[in-house]
Amino acid sequence: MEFKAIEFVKNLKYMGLGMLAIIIVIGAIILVTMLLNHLTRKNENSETKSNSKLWIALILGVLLVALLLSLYFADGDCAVCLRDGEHTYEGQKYCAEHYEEILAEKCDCEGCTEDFTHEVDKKQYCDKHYMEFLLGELEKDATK
Amino acid sequence: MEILYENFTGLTWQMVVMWVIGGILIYLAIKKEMEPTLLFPMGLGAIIVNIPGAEVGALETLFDAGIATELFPLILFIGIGAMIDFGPLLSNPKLMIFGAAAQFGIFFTLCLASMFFDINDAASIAIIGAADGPTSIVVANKLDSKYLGAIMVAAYSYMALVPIIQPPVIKFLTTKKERLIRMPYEAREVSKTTRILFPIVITMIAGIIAPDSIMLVGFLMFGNLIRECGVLNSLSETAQKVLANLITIFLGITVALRMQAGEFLNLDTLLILGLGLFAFVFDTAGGVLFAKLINLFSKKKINPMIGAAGISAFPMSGRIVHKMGLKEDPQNFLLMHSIGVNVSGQIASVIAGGLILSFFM
Repeated sequence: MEFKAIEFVKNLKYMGLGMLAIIIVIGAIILVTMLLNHLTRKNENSETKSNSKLWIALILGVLLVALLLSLYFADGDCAVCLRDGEHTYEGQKYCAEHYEEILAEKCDCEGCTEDFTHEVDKKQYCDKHYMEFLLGELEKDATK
Repeated sequence: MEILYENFTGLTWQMVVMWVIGGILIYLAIKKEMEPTLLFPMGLGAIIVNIPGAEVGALETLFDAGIATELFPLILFIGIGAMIDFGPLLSNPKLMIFGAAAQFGIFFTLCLASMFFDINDAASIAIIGAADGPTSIVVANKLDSKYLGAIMVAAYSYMALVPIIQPPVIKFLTTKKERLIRMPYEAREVSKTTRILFPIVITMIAGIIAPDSIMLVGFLMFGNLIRECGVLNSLSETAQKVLANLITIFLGITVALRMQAGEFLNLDTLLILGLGLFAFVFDTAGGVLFAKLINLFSKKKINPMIGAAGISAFPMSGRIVHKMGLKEDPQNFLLMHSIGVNVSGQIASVIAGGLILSFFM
């Protein structure tokens, strides 16, 4: 365990985004419930009905603001999750964890993150690193 | 004769400490009646798994089958869903906003815990604040947290300690005048259609916005739909009693498997317990402070104590707020409001769990 104070500031965006998302989900649920009540209650006086219309309008407004804010907050640029994309692979940004996963899935070259095109002794190489490998082997032969 | 005492050589002081912890859990369960259905099996389990040379293969099988696969917490949610009456909430759906506000502690603790732990562990620790054992298990498991044992113990212990933790926080944040605010309850009719459509709609909304919460919300709402549909009364009764009790028995003792001295007794566990408590206190504070904020603008004043019930510990939290109201003014009945907020806390904490999974999976 290592104490890293900067992580608090770095992760504050999750707090903003999390609370906004909760408000959006709960707001949507309140809205639908009020609509359901509005449609299915039989013995409701006109004052209560106009009151609930007002509330529905208010919640719709809050939801809209929350949605806009969440769009602003949700700027983590990892292609898979909301974390910052520290690594780039084929033009897409990935956080450390998902970059590892992508590498494990897609990249086979021993020297870089490219897909392999050649295989020698169960080791895989892209064109560039295959050439380097061959040159290395030639140099070894020459020194022998 | 050696065979009789050879196991003593494997005994360590840490194991003895775990026996004491197990004993305390059993004491709290029996003597203080704190969440006995969980603390009792956890206490005994903690003693069993810390016997030197103990063969706990059966517990491991239960763990692999029920907790590693998340089946136990999810099935338990069917029972919890069948127990919950959404009536007070449906008659005044605006109360749900307090459930959302009371999740503040979770997200704040996430930032705080990230200073000590990696982000997946921090997120799993933060969920303790929801005071929702099954959600904590599912989140910690899905995020592959190595602190699953400590998180489960903290979540269930704090659920049991609601009557001790919440009142001082509420008192600290409210004035006597605020605690005396009366909230007359207007019983409004809730149609059967609304009661049936509500769990379906929640599942759909939560599922679309936070797809990772679909299993949690879906199982909870499935239980509630069994209760509300009116044609599955025997299933509803089974889910509320037999199913919930059966899973609780297995869950408690299986959780204890992660209370082995070697992995439980360390500084990380202490820190997790501290952060969990912090999350729990801030969840309570979030709800109370949000109610106070609304009072600044609203003509019809709200008793801010009901905001504290926006956590998942149902129905303890709602009852505590009601009791505190009665203590201040014997004619102040807050039960229907606080239970409404408490039910919304159950929904909101599950959604918060799903959102955390969406962020980090």
